[in-house]
Amino acid sequence: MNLSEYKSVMYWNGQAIKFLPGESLSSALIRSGINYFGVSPSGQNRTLFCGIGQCQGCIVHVEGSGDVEACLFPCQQGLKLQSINQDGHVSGKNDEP
Amino acid sequence: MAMYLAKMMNPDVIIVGAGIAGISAASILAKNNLNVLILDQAMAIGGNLHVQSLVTTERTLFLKHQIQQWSRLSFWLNKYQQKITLQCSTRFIGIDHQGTVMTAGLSGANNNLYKPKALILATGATEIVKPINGWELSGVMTAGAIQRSLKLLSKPFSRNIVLAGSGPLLLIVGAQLVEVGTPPLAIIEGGEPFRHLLKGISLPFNYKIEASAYYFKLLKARVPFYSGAKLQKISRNSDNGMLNLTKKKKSGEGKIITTNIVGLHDGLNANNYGTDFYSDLIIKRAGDCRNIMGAKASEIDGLNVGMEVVSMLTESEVKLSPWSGINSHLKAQKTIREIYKIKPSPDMFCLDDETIICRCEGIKFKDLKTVGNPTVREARLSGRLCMGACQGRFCANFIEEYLSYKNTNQEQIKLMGNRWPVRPVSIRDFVNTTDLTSNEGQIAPVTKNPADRWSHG
Repeated sequence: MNLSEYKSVMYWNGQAIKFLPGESLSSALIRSGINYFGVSPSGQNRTLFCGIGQCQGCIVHVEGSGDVEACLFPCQQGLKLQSINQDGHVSGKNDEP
Repeated sequence: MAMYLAKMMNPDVIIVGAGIAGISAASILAKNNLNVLILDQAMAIGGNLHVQSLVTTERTLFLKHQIQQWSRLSFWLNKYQQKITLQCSTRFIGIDHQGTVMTAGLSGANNNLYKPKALILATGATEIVKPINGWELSGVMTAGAIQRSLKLLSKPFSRNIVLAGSGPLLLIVGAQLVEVGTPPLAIIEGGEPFRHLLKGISLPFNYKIEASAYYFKLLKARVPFYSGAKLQKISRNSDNGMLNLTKKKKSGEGKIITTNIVGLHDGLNANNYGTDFYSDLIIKRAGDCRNIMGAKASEIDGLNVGMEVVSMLTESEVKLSPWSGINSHLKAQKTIREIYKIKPSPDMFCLDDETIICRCEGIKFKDLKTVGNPTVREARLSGRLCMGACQGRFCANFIEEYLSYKNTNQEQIKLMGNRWPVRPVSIRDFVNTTDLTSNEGQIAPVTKNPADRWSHG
């Protein structure tokens, strides 16, 4: 995939992720090669599964909005996303490079 | 598409889901002068079939009759825009015992309390996915999730995709992957649809045309299609991080396929649980969430359910015949299920003990085997089955079949709960709600010519 055409940027655990306006968080993350989103309280992988907000498996933390389904939440310029650890805390990597 | 501004008032009817059935119902309600609020948790309206991408205007993955249907639905939305408020990225949170409905936007907007007179749930179907050893690995998702991504982007999101499970959606998504230039590496179909093809003779003509088009697209792209085959195991390749899939045919021969993404799908279920509660609020379901019926029937069902609500709210004594045509589509869906039916076999429940059965809570097959013959309450409270965030949407189907198989002579228990998915709702969402319950809408007087209320052509 040629990502050089995408101008909008958000941050996943501090890493810059390009996205297309109108795209969901999970769509941009997966196209950037990230499909592991963290760990649930019961120790399960957080990842995209159903894509429509039913399975609750793709929960990520969005600064300013809290824990959300990555398949539903829209990408925004400068948005800061973090993975959630099993203990419920966010990963802590949120510094822009 | 016109922009819909949120109107700060209490609607007569709230519809959850801006898909075919929801928009269809809204149109007939609005035509009869009722104020309607349609919510959808997605960013784009159209449900799953007609998802209106915010990224691209390309619609190459939509067939002609689908584009026609959407033109019809969006025509009605525009025509009645004074009566219909549409809020995307807005979740239906729940209903309290007094019939107060709470909604919450994903970014904090549209956090409102309403007291509608009726609620119509038009949330669409849920995908059935049977557990496979390794299905919890990242890179494994539903075929529906892949399809949604393709429709939203009209471009590939990944190469190296394998589709596995059973049902016509594997053909459809496979053909759509061919269309965007990333044909699947393989389709692993558990049923043997070509053996039962004669059953398809009774299907409506356009169903047959559509199926043939999908199949020939796959044939032309030389996509390997394995029927009567099962995906047995998914594991992570430690050298390259890809997924290794072990495929098994009926004859017992196996094969390893290496890929990045797996799309699983074993059929569709209605999404008809949740919101059992007690108040005067009228609650109806419309479309696939009520009964799997397909796109055309969902449009008819939306009109009929909408008209039913109109009759209840306006206390009309006139009973008119509903739109017809649903039965032929329900029959077609039944025929399709028969074509894809997988014969029960002794190894249906021969899963590795370490196979995750409950994706939310990590319950394994070895845990399920110890559950015995529980009542629904025992299964949920002691076995912790179907108690995770998805409330059984991705595990109940398999667990019910397994317990029924194990405890022969017992009626199959119904484990699905009464709850929506347990999703994150912050305290802030509750605190910041705007109470709109007392901004009453106006109920329309009965029209002079009752037939007018039905005409919708």
